[in-house]
Amino acid sequence: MSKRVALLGGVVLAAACSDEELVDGIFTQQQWVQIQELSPLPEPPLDPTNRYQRDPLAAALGHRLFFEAAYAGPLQVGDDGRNGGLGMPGDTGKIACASCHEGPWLIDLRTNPNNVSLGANIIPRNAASMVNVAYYSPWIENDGLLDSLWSEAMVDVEFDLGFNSSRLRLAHVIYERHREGYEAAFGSLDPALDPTHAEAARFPADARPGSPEWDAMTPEDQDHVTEIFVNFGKALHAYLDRLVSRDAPFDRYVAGETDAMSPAAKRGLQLFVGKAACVECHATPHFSDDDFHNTGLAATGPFISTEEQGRYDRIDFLLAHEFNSSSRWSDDRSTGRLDGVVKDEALIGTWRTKGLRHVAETAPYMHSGQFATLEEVVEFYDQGGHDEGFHGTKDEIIQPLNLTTDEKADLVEFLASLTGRELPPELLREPSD
Amino acid sequence: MISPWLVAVAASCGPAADEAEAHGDQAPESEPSQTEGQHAEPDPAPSPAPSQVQLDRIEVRLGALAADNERLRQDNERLRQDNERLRAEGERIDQRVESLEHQQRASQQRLDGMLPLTGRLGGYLDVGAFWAAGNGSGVRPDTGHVVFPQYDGVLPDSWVLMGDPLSTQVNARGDPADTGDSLAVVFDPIDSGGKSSFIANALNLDVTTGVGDHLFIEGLVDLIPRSRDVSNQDGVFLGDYVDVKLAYLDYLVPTKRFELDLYAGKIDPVFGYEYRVQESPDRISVTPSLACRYTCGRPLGVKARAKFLASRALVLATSVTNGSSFREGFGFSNETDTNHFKTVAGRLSYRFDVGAGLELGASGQIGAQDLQPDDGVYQWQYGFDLHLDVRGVDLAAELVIGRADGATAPGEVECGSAPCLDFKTAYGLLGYRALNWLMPYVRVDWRDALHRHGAGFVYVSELVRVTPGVRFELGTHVAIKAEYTVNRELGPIPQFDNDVLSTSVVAQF
Repeated sequence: MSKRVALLGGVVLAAACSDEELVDGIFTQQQWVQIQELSPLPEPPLDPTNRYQRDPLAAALGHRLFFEAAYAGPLQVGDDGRNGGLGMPGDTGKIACASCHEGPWLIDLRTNPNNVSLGANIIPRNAASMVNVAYYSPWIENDGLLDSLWSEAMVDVEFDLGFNSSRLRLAHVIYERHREGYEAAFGSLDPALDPTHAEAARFPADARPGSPEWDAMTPEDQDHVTEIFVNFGKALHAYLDRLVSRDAPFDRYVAGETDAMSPAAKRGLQLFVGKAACVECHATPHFSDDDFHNTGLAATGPFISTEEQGRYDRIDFLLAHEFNSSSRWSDDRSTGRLDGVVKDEALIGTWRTKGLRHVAETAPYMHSGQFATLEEVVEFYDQGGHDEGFHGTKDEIIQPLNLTTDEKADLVEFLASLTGRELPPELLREPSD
Repeated sequence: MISPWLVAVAASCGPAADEAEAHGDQAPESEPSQTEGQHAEPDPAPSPAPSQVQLDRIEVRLGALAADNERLRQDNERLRQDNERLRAEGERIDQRVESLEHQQRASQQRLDGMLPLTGRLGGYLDVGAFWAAGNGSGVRPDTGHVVFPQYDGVLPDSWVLMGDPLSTQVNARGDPADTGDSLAVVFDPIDSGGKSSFIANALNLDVTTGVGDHLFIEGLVDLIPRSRDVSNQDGVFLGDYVDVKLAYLDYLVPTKRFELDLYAGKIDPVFGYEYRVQESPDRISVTPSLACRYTCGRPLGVKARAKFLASRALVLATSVTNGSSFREGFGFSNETDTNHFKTVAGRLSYRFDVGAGLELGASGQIGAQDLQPDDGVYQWQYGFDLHLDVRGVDLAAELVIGRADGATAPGEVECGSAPCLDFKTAYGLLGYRALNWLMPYVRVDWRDALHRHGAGFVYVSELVRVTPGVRFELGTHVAIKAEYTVNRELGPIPQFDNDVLSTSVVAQF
């Protein structure tokens, strides 16, 4: 009996001692530790496969090449007055990286419909923001098409729907328009790339692997052109490495500026790391775990294929790719990035987690661009994804969240607080010199 | 001075008389005694005079007789007074009986005028105020998988919930002050966020109608005013809503050997004791126990209740229903069933003749798991209950143990196809009617449960609550209740702020 009385007394006494020290009156200590893992945003990760990543000369060249359109091949889809096309069908020299990555957040502001992007033809992806893109490591693109940013920067050049061009076209333009910058960063170019050179015939105007002109070239000349092509990618990577936006209200809040975020955004942050569990995938300071998940998205929308299976479809391409991290063009072939990468059926329908910094500025959303607003995205996850119409098996972490209307609004408010300062204007425009 | 009469009396009985006879002693013949005067014949021979020893004995004896006499006089006087009082009381009772007979005749006349019975509308209004500590929720996430690391890598830390989502109930309906981060118990009709608030808990309507002599219809409905942002068409809050709690037919089978009621519709369950006193006017406390979620739900189906023995003390109740006796707000509840295997439940109880009654009961139920389409996924529970009402003391206690098996598909996270639930819970509620209008009470309840649904959520609940309170009754129609619930987590679960202060004013009509 006395034990029971003591237990009862202990319970009552313990009640008076209950305490929950909250950070800013909202977050538990454990939650705050978790939140501090999301900020500040460090330097982009070093990629040993590109030894020029932090080379200022390479970055300066990459900056110029980002705005270079001269090497673009003929347009397949022209401007119909509504689609934002870049010229008439057959026009060449009309497409630059900046054509689909513009404005303060380097996104596609031109193509209609906006869930896709129009280069030489319609690419069934909305061009992603290039701001903070250097934080993705190692998988680039929503489907993990490649395992380095420099190789991904190259892939659109010879992609029919992208630039519809060739490495020879690119090499000639670099020789003609960027020779000084290139040679300062990477070494000398073969003078035969000059069309007036006596041996100019060694380097056809337009050739890429698989074409008769390419096959007619000597292996040494092929390597030289490919090296230019690779250095083009590495220079672009060096430029993209500088496109970092920090100091979002969220960062300032974590740093101690308690009024940097609105009360709604703070509630949204609590949901983000709590009930909604967004942080399970949108982890790290760039808010992506760089992993692949099946969110149960039934892809819909203009020009969107319902047959795509995400990561699973790209494994063969990646492993066989001429410029992957294990290739001879990689500056470090020992990274082991491709170790264990196999075409596992578990990858069917998976897509890489998108980073969320400045996400409020980069609509539309999902790999299909089928959600025009963050409210739609939050609603999608609140429902626990779609019930059908997607490939593979939905991740078990995708569950109905039962968020209230206010909670969903709070989450959107928090996502808006991830928008950092805009980049310096000089990084966003074509160099004047 | 001893009178000769007394001496004669003393000599004719007792040891003094025997002794005098043996020794041939005689009384003095100086004066005729009173005895002589009362008897027709004088003594044939005068008694010899008593010795001093005899006189001393006689004097002692006479003293005792005098004391007895005085006591008898006093008793007589008391009896006389009692008699007068009882006579007066009897007259009052006669008057009261006459008055009651008059009222009964009047009532019978009114009743005769009303018959056949066509219906009755009753109900109550329950309003109150409450405050729940912290954010108003009874659960907290295990952030960082600190407390339950076994779930790290299995499901997000914020979906590992510690505590009890219904531990912060604030009214007789069992509504929690806030559901907070809860993922299974998500209906959040109050959504207080830890702020204090007035609340209109329910406007209750009770409709009873007789159809003939043996068939009755009963409906019990709560009209519940709750918040809603009417500007938001997509809002999830119901706003004001209607809860049909009971809707059944009751057929009183005309049999004399025992009582038998048959019910059909949305009925009271048969499990345990608390369900019978869950309506606010009937409930001593403001809030339900932690066990009530398992025993107070009102399923759809049929029920039979029989009372046996001359005293009707032995009661057997059985039911076959769509789902279990879990409450709707707990996430296990079917109205329209999702499977063929109905829930079968039963309770056997006996009322001992102690005070107003000592009732002991045992209950059990089994069926296909609520909300699951598979008949092979079982849900069962059993329990024991006690209720004692004696000398102003009202004691109720229950123990409930049960399980919902859940289901796991091959290669799936445990309980991924259907949620699993293991639970043990008990409570004891002791009330004492100190005055006709005042009843302090205390309830201690405990719950130990694990509720999991694949990678979706897991609730680890182990807690004890102590709820002291007081109930005031203003006449027969109004009750005011106030209680404070001390909520304490047990085991490895850290303490957090979730105590609750709740009050209720209930007016019946």
